[in-house]
Amino acid sequence: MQTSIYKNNLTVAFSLAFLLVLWKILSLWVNAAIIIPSPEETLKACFTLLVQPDFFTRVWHTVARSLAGFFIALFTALFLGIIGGACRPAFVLFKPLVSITKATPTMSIILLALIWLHTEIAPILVGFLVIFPLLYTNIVEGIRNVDVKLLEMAKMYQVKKKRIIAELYLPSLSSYLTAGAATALGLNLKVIIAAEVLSQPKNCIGTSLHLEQINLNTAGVFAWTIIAILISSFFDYSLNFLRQKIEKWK
Amino acid sequence: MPFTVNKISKCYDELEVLADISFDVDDNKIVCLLGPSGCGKTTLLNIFSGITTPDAGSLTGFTPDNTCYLFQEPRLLKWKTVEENINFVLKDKMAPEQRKDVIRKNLEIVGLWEYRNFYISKLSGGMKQRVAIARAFAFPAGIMLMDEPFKSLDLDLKASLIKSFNDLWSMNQRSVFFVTHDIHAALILGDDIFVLSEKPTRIQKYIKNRVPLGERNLRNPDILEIEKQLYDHFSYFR
Repeated sequence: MQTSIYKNNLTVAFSLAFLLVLWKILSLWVNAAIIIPSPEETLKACFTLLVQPDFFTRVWHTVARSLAGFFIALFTALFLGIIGGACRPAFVLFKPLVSITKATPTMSIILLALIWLHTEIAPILVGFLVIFPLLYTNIVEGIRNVDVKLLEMAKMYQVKKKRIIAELYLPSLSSYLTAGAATALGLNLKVIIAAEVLSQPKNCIGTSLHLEQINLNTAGVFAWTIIAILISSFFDYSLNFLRQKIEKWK
Repeated sequence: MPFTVNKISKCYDELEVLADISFDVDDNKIVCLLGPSGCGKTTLLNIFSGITTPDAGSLTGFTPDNTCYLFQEPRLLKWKTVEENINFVLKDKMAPEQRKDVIRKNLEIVGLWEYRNFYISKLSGGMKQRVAIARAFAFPAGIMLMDEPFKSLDLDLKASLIKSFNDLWSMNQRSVFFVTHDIHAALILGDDIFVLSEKPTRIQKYIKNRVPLGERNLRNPDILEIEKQLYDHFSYFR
């Protein structure tokens, strides 16, 4: 087990080193920092950002929006998904709503959100609308795959409905939910940053990214991108940690 | 008689599954319904539990609220430990202190108290079924319905599970209705053995097993005599 983790980490480190070398070669070949800045220039830009007094405020605003959108989508998807998964007529009733949300182009959602809402909260709605169908579909799938024999056992032993939901349905859902949540969290951050670029709320990653682009500071754009990737990796790591805690029976 | 099954019939579309099933049995007996695979044994058990409604006939003494179950598969929640699995069915029925005592007593009898904090995935197939047996006996009920819980098990494992069952039943007697196609399980467990026919299923034969539960084994002459009667009855053994 230990050896396998060590081997995996080594492979990841090797893969990252390879990408870094490739990036360096590409930047040398293009030889124009405005198109592809070198890894060193990007690292320097990262440090410049880090020492700015409002850096953490900007990061926090985007992270807070991302988490707000994610949790609103998660709880709505859980509520509607459990009903839709357990009750066929409800599933049919929700189907047009989910299909429309799924099929609407992200850009239309962003533009409409900007018309309807304040620039500070428009990205949250955008994130919600993009990840809600994904989470909802996973939850419905999870509910439909709950072991019927376990349900029958719980009913025969007269276990209360509230406890059947909490102790049978929700744990059965956990693998579907964590898989959906992992995709949704990363996607949500990407979409929220895109919406921020267009809606320009104060002090956030999207607006800062746009500002660097206007100033033709490509190293700054790369630096913010790397920060977004690091946040997404942190989300992934946290979710993985949570999954191991929840699914310790596996 | 505490339990009366009176002319129970059941059809699914054109297929007549059960035809005029009738019998009377006493309280706190192990009643075995022995029949070939696919003869409608589970349907009969579902009628006793109230899941399925018969087309005709009536039942006396069967109360679903007062019933516990033992299934072919253990039907345990893999995300709960052994103790939590039993607790799951007791929580709405008993106070916490009483639950602890009941769980401990039943797990000790089946030899799994030391495994109480183990997740189900860490147990062998036989241990899982023992947890299911302990869960059924821990549940406060006067009736137990069993649907071939010893099916597809090797002989050693079957013998050890039957022993666990006997130990628990001796400590906490209740009326057991047990469907099986396994002649040996019927001989060792059944006080009243009803032999069922092929579909449409009827009761073909009744055998009273007078050998005390603790003395039943496959070397006991009385048990061997009953075995002979059963083998003589089933045409495919003649």
